[in-house]
Amino acid sequence: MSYSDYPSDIADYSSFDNMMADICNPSSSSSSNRKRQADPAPDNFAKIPAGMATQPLYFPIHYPVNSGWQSFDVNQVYNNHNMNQPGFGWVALPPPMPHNLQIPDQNSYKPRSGLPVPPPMAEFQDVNGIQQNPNEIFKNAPITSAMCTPESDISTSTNLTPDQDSAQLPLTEQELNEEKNFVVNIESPGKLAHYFLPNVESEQEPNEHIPYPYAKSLFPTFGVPVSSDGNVVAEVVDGRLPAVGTRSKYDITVDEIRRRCGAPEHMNQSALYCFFRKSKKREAINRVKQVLTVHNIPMRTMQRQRKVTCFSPFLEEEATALARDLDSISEEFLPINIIAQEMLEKLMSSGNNLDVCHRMLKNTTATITRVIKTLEVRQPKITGQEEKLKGNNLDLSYHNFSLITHGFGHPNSLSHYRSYLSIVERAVLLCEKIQNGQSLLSNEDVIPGQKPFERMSNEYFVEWQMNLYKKKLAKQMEEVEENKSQRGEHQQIHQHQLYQQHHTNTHPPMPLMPPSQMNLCPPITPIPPQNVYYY
Amino acid sequence: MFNRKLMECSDDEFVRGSQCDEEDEEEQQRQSSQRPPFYENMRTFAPSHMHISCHYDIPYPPHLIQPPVCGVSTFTYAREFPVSNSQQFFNVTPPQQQQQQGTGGSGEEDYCIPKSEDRDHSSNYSQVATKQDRPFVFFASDCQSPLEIVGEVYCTVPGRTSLLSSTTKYRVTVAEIQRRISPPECLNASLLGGILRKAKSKDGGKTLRDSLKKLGLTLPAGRRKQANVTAWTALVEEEAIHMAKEFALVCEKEFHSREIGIYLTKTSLAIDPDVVKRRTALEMSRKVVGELAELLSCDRTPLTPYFPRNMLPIDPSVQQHLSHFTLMTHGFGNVAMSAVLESVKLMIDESIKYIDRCCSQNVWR
Repeated sequence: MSYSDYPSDIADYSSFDNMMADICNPSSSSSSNRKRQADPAPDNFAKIPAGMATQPLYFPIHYPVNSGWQSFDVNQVYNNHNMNQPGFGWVALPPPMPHNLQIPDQNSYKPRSGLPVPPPMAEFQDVNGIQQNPNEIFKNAPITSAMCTPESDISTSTNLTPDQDSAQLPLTEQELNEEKNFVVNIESPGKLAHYFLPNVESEQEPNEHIPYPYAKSLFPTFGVPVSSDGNVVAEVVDGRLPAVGTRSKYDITVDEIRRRCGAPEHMNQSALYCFFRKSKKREAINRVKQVLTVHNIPMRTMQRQRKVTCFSPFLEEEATALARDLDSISEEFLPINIIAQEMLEKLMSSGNNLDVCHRMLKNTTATITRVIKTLEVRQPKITGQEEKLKGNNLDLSYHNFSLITHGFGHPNSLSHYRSYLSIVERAVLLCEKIQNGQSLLSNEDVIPGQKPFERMSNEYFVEWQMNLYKKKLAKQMEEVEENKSQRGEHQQIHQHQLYQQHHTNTHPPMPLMPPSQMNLCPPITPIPPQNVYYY
Repeated sequence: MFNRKLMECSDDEFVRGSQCDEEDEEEQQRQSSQRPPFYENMRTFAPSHMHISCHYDIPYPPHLIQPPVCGVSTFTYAREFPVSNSQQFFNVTPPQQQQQQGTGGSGEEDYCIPKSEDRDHSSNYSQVATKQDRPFVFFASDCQSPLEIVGEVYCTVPGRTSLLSSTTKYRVTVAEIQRRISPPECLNASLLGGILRKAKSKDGGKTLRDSLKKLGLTLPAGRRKQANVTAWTALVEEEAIHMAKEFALVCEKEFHSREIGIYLTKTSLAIDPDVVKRRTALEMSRKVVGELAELLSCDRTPLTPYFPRNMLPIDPSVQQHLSHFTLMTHGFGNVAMSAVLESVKLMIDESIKYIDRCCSQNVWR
């Protein structure tokens, strides 16, 4: 083979980071790669030497090793020795090789002395690792060395003209349209896993339906074969959070059991007893084994659970109900108007103009709206919910988060984001009211002598009253100083604010005084009645 | 020691049962007066960790917080304090003393006369004190202050969110029970028994009521439910906060803020390629999110003492409304909201970093 084909072949599969780059940015040369599908993969696969796979990668992986699906072992999959052993490294049988993978001859793996090596520029590698495709990396390699010398600025500017356009526009309109037109098959369960692990039932389907960016991606999260009995109810169990008089029953489906047995939790049989709400008796053991056997769910005997959280014992339906209850409580009891007004006051007190505050709030609204959209259009696979996919790497991120929290994280995050959006939108409305000259409605005044809580302690209530009194006093002083129009007095206002900030941030609250001494203070504002203090 | 205390308690109950008419009269007097006695309000105290600083700031000895015993005269006489000092500290006026003495009649005089003669004996004094301190019955020692009750652990309950191999016990304080039977939840004996993992008894929860009564808590009878029962009702505060911490940890480690931030930046730059404008917008958003996170972290609602709190100042009117939300979720809602806000901040930070890399690349070229 010629030297021009060597870099692209190595970059296609030798680096995991390039796979992420493919997912983030589908390459423009997809048509040329699809032509290689006709080559027989099994024949070339057998010729890979075991030693070649352990060679150091040209581009380091820029993701933390400890995180779940990002710590995927590339050498493990492409090692001939490990691939032949069934069940090694996976809960189920190892997945077959991707159909689109092209394996070059053995001679092409030999390192050549004349191969240009890019200089060790960390910043440039970061940019390459995330943005550009494998082919573009090697195309830009000679230019990288030229960029080191200032004399070659003129030549580099002429050569990098198309790259500037790609940098300014990471995603073209055509690519966005292709992403939006991603088709999801509603009928079959486990859509995302369907494209990664072809099942026996779906082997007859043509390869053209498999999206190109995902043909090279294999993640342990989906290392479980897909079957048609995923929605079958394996068991009906009691919930863990019922109050007295409210009994609740939840269904455990076969797919849910597979998800618990797979990554990242890898529950063993002992944990499944807890999941099924059964004790370790003979009948329960037989029942659990029967479920696993009937539905062909493999499980290692000595496998231990890797991650245990408070959400581990929850069923997916139960966790979803928990999130739903929290959403209802937030809607009813979260004081959106008051928080919005307080936030606006803080923004204005930190030296921002009304226009600046309005712009800040508008930008925040746009940002949160975008985040909400990414959550609303997606729905990870959980019991009782229809799976929704968008066809990019965010599906994996949200799916992993949902797996760990058993379905609680996705609706809970969505609920919180909506609450934040309501708060910020309310703040925008208040800001516009002030700009239009309207006055804000004052908060509900507390009745003098009335406690916020029926069971509030007297000492705490006194402290609360004192804080309220101090705040009113500070406001009055500010109003008095604002009436003065001299410049020197404006400086005093500024100093007062600094002193107030310093005092509130550093000094502890003043000690409480007995009521007899408090009565001696001059009454600038009406003090609450003496009935409050029961000494 | 314990047997004597039990005997004293039984004596109190016996005396109380025989003097029903006198107790009714006393209750009428208390209701008629606008200012209830001091010790009745002791039940409303917050956890002890919130009282320690306030308690030590009071410029008088803590032992004087104890309620008066059978009138001020007997108390002051027994403690050997002058009358003026007691008036100053307890804010008691002479006319009230006369009213109490006058309304007492011969019954109170007969009750007090033999005790005043034996004022030198400490055992008699402790007996007199226990009779008046009926709501507070201590079996450990007499020196224990009533302020420490609210911070004590009432019982430990097994967690509902534990696997077979990891059984966890959570502590339930007296103050927590107080909060649960108070608004906004207003749990009754049945629901409270479910929270404490107690089985229902045939006596209608009398055992639970009696045990709470010893601590000064009155559990109302009847099916009183002001708030709807949710999945969070079954959790104790420490468990809910522990779950919130776990959720925060999952958000920190497993929520891929980086990928989401980069994706959002790419999509926004595809629509509007102005990088500088986008970066400015993100910085503004980060500032607003920071302010919101700081505001939510200033919640000072009293919760379980085994959870560190942020003691930054907050507007009392805002605190008043935030406490309803926190009490309904037993501390989970606030911590979870803060965790989600932190993930949003991380998303924005990653977006800014990505834009910085793009900008630096453009400038270099």
